[in-house]
Amino acid sequence: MPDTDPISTDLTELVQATPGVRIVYDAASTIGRVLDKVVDFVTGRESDTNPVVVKEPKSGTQVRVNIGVSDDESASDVCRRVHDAVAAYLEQQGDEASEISVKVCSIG
Amino acid sequence: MSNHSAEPADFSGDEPEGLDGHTIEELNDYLDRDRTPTDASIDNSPGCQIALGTLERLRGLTRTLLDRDALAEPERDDSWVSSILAGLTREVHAGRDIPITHGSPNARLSVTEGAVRGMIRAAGDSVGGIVTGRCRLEGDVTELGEPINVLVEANAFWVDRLADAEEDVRRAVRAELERHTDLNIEAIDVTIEDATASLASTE
Repeated sequence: MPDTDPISTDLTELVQATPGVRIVYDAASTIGRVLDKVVDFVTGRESDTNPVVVKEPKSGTQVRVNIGVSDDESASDVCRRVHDAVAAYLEQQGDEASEISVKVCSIG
Repeated sequence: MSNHSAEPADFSGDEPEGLDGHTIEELNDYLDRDRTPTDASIDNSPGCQIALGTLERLRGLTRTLLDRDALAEPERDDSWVSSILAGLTREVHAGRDIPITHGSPNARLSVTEGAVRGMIRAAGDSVGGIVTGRCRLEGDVTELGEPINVLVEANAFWVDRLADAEEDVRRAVRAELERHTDLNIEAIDVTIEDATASLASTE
């Protein structure tokens, strides 16, 4: 997980700056965060607390983003825009995404 | 495009996790304090944000009612407020994921049912004199193209004709659903109760 921190940080900033995005919610599950805290405690590491979750299994990078959008634009359009921004970023990094999940959790 | 697994809608009971451990009373207090000091657990909770939006609109209407002395009526029936607040906790939970189309096979795009219900309430409330209550999406919203029926319950104030108000709400809700989602809306059923009927009869 620590090796994904810079990507997660970059992606969090990227998503926050995407027009139409009002807020970036934590995309990690509660159980996942609790497990992270346990591992942090045991290993003494500092965990990734970015709301954008990045995982790198062998099948390719997986990104999970939860957002709230403003009411000014179509939520679907903003969702696609966020996906495309994330995909473009990963491509720039020479990374291939196996899955980019973007979920709109609030509108307005 | 993703194939999301179908999950049945559950409106059977309260789901406090929709407010991430907070209560409607706490959110009301937060608004009373003008959201200061900021509370990250509220600000970062989608359910709390949706509920705060509804509470703010409700407060706006209540102020207007007070201005009109409607709430000063001794025989007022404000059960509609209790009903909306009781349902709010249940309806802000995320619920099912509603897919959003995208050309990439690796894209998993969606909007939560809770976000859509919040948007529907805001659309209904945009019609003058209307406070939207319960909203339901009937049908398998997790599958693209499936026909969906939308049920909306609302309360009306200062509305000349309920039938006109119902049509206005229906039109506003449809426009917002078409703007924000890829849902295949088959029908929108709007039921409006005249919240001022008892008051009007005493005038």
